Amino acid sequence: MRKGLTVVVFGVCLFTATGGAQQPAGGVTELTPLDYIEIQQLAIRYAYGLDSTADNGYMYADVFTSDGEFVGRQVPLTQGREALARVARSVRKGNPMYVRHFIANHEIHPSPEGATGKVYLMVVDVEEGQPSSIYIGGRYEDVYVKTPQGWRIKRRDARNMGTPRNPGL
Amino acid sequence: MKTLRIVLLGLALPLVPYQLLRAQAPAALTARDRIEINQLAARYAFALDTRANDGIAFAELFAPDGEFVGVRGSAKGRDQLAELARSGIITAKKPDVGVSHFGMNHVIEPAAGGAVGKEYLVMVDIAEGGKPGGDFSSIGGHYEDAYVKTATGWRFKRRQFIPMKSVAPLPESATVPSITRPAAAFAPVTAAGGGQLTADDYLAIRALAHTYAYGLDTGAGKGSLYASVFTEDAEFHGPPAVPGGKPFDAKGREALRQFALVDRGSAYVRHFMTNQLIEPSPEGARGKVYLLVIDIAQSNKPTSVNMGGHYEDVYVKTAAGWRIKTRHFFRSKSAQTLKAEADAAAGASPAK
Repeated sequence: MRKGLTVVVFGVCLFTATGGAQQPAGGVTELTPLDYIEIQQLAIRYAYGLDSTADNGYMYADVFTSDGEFVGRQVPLTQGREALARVARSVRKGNPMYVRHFIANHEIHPSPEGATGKVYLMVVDVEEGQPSSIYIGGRYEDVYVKTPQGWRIKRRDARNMGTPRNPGL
Repeated sequence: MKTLRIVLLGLALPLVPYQLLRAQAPAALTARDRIEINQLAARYAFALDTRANDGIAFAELFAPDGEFVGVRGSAKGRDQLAELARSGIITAKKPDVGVSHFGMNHVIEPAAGGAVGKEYLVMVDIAEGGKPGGDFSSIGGHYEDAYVKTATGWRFKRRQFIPMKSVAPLPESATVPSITRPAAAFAPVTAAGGGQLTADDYLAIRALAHTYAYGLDTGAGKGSLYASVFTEDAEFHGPPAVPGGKPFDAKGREALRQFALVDRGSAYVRHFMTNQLIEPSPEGARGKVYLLVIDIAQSNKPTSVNMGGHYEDVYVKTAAGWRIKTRHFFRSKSAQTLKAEADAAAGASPAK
C-alpha cells in the first residue's frame, strides 16, 4: 500500500481469553462475554494503532493475524504484518494525541472460523484551530479468529465505504 | 407511513416508562445479559440503515408487542415496526452506503421486567449522492429503552427517541486550549503488570465512561451523577471550562461536581464517547476513550463538532465498585501541529 493513501485500519495487543466456551449444534462455538469484549477491544485497538502509529505501526499490524488481510476501498489487498505496519506508518499526522477513527455499533456473531463482525466507522478530522469535517465513513466487515495470543482480525473488508473528502492523510 | 399509527410527539415527552421501570425492584444482570443487550443496540443501527430483509430485521429486534416511539410517530408490533423500517423513521431515503445511525454511550441497568437503558445517537450522511466525505445530519439525541428477555433472547420492549434539547442556555462553542503534557504511548498489556479483568470488570468500567457523559451533559443531581463516577480523591486535568480561562485541574469529588452543576435537562446530549480501550494495570485498570463534542443542530445552526480528543484514565475498584481515579483530557493534534508548536516554543526560548 502506497504512502499517502487513505486507509482506515487497526492494530492489537491482546488479552488471554478466559471463560468456558460452549459447543452448540452446528459446529459454531458460542462466544463467552469475555470473547465479545476482547473482540470489541480488538476493533478499538485498531483505531488507536492507526491514529497513534504506535510501535512503528506494529500496534496496528498486531491486531491482525500474521497472515491477516485488509481489503480497502481503494487498495485491493494488504496482507501480512510488515505490509500492515507500513500502512499505519503512512499516516503522516499520526501521534499519541491524534484521534480520527471513531467506531460504533460493533455487531459480533459466532461463526465456524471463530466470529464475524460488522462495525461502523467515521473518520473525523477534528483538530484544534481547524474546521472539523467527516473525511470518510462506512463500515467494516470482519472475520476474527482466536489465536494462542488471543483474538485477531483474520480479514477486514472496508469496501462498504463512501468516497473520501480529499486525498491523502 | 401508511399503516402506522401516527402520534405527534413534543420535545417534552414524558419519560415516565423509563423512570418507573428503573425504580422498581430489579434483578441483577449477568455479563452475558449486558453483552446481548449491547449487541441488540448495535443490530438496531444496521437493521435500520440497510432496511435488511425488507424491514423484518428491524421488527425482530423488538418483542412481539414491542414499541418504537419517535418524533414523527410510533409503531407497535411486528407489522408496524417492519413498515416503519421500510418507510424510514426520519426520511424515506435509504442511506447510500447503509450507514447513518451512530450510537454511543450505551448504559444498561436492571429494572422491573428486565432492563432499561439509554444510548446517544447522532445521524450522519455518508457520501450521499456520491458526495465525498460526510456530514452530520440535524438529527441527534438519545434513546430511552426498556428491554425484555424473551425465549429468543433480549429484545426491545420499548425504544423511544428523544431529540436533543437543553433547558439551559447552550454552552460556549469557542475553542479552548489543550493541556500541554504529551499523551503517553499506550503500553502493551503484557507490560502493564496488572491482573486479569473479568467481563464484569470491563463492563463496569465501560459504564463509568458513559455515565460520565450523561452526568456532564444533563447536570443530573446538581452534578452528583457526574461526580459519582470518580473516587473521593480523584483528579481530573483538562482544558479550561471557559475560553481564556485556566486549565481545568480539579481534585476531589466536590470540586468535580462543580463542573457539572448546570441543569440542562435529561434530553441534552453533547459528549459522545467511543473507542474505550481498557487494560489491567497495577492500580486496577487503565484506559483511553475518544471524545467528540457534538453540538446537535439548533434553530438555523447546523450540527457541528465543537472539539475532539481523548481521555486517559486510571480506574480503581472500590468497595462501591469501579471508579475513575485520575482522568486527563487531550485535544486532538496532528504530528504536524505538534512539530509546529515545538518549533515555535524553541524559537521563543532564550538563546543559550
